[in-house]
Amino acid sequence: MTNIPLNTLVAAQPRKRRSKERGSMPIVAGVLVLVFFIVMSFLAPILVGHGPNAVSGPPLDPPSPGHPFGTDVLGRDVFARTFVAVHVDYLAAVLGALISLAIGTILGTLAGTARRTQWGTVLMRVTDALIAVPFPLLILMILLTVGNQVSVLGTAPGVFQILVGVVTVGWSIYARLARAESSGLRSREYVIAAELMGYGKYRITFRHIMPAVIAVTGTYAVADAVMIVGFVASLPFLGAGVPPPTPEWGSMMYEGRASIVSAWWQVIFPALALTVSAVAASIIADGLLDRTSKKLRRHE
Amino acid sequence: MSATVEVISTTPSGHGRQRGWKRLMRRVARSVLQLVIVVVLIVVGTAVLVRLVPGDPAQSILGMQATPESLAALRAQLGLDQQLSSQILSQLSGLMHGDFGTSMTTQRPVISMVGSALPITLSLVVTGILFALVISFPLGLLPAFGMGRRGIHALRISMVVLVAIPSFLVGIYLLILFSVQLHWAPAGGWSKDGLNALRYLWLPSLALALFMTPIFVRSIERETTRLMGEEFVEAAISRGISRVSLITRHLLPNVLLPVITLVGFSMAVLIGGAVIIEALYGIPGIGSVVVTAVGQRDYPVIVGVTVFTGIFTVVISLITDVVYTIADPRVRVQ
Repeated sequence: MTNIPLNTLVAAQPRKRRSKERGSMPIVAGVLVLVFFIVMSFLAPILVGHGPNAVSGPPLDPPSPGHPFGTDVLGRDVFARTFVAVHVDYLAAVLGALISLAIGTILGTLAGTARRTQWGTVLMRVTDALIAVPFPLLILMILLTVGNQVSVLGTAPGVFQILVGVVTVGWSIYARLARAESSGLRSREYVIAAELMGYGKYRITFRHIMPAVIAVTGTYAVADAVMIVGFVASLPFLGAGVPPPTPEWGSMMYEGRASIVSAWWQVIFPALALTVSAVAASIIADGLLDRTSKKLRRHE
Repeated sequence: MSATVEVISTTPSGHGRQRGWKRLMRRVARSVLQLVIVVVLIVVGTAVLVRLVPGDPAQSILGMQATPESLAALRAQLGLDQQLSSQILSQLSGLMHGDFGTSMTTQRPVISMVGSALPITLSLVVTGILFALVISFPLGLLPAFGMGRRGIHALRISMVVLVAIPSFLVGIYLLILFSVQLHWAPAGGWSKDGLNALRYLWLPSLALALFMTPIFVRSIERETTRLMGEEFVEAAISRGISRVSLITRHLLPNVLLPVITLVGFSMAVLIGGAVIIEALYGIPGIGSVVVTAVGQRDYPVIVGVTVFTGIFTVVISLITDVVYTIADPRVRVQ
């Protein structure tokens, strides 16, 4: 008799069944969580009645109705700071991912559809090199070069500089994805049909190939935003990051680290906010990945 | 970060069809080219970037309190007193002779700072990988233990959740749980003495491992699920083979190969993760060198360490790829 029940064999193909039974519920739930944080980032200071940088109580006051998340070392309201930090952290994540997405997708698609394959090779070797160097080191190096004290284009000081670092490194992954995707699409029937109809090269690249490429790179962008927000929050621990007093989850945790035993609320609430946002975005990314891979399979 | 690793680890598949020594030689050539590009890109990139910064870059790096002497010293270090081309050339020739620059505060050569810090970082990375493998294999092999559709789905969802939590946050949660609440581990620090170091090492390693686990589990679970549908596995099951030998003889050899590649290709990500974890736990590895250097605005150290780790990760991923080639019986036969 067999030692392994036969249902193992049935259970061996869960993936096809899963995509059928999973709708867009997880994606909607994830989006709702993110929208909640954005709405709260404007409401929170009004709800507690003090701004994120205002000294509104005794230092290290435990959570109470007046200060739902307690106060920090300087007596600032942790509730207001945690939610207002959404402005910096979400902004960095969204802009960092979007700019990298745009640069990487365009470069990768151009290289993938170029008649000369050398362009693709050059691009791959450059991205190889960028990917070989640990991201935090490369970004720290760029940050140190450009400094982090100056406010650029109305963003909080340091945010623009961090974005420069993130994009300089981040576009490479999108470029690789876009190149792989677009060079595969070139031989697809609909692209050949468009060529036969006499459409120009750029029209085909941007109107016919690019949208399909963006389905792939755009999905990755959501996962990338999760990575960026985690990275921005880890910068203060490396001695860089958004300088005080701008509320930012990483710097809040870094400041609260010394008194973590006596005043855990300083660390726990920004940590939870970051975790919940990241998990929500990661679930969205997973759902999107499911959909794009399903869609692509249907085309084949 | 896991998504990154997956994207990176898809690279070898393009070369999958050409096997054997020819492939190996091409791989070595590609790594050498990669090394050259890493070095040139960083040297040229920093030299150009420094010149693009508006105002005085030395001032913006050192801040407003800097003394005129230190500003002049940094300008010389940044090569601002030289032509762009001669600066790049002298830096490149220095690197070729193993000169990764000198610290501006301690006057120590960067290479010796890296030399004493790297073994500590590597011990963290290696124990992290070991922990990650110990956690990931049982989880990833669950489909082979007859786990149902719902179970696999739950596993996948929990990995999606785990992958979203940044490594330093995992470190903070572990610190709160094991050091602050349970007192099972010191809240950071390091010991030079081997066995004692383990006390300091296990918690940060676990943090690094939990950061890698989702990536490993996904890869192992996908491969196992695929294999369970393969004919040779069905044949083995219908022969009445025991579960243990199904796993050890039929599944593990197949699952191990993608994991080896994954480890090699995630080296840069792992060292990056280790740098952050070290900074959090106050471990005197590469991470601490970097944090001190950032704090003192010691620019040459950051650049030197970045170039060095870049070269290091290229070499490591080359070595793992060679191991992969040797470990793959399909290659050995040729």
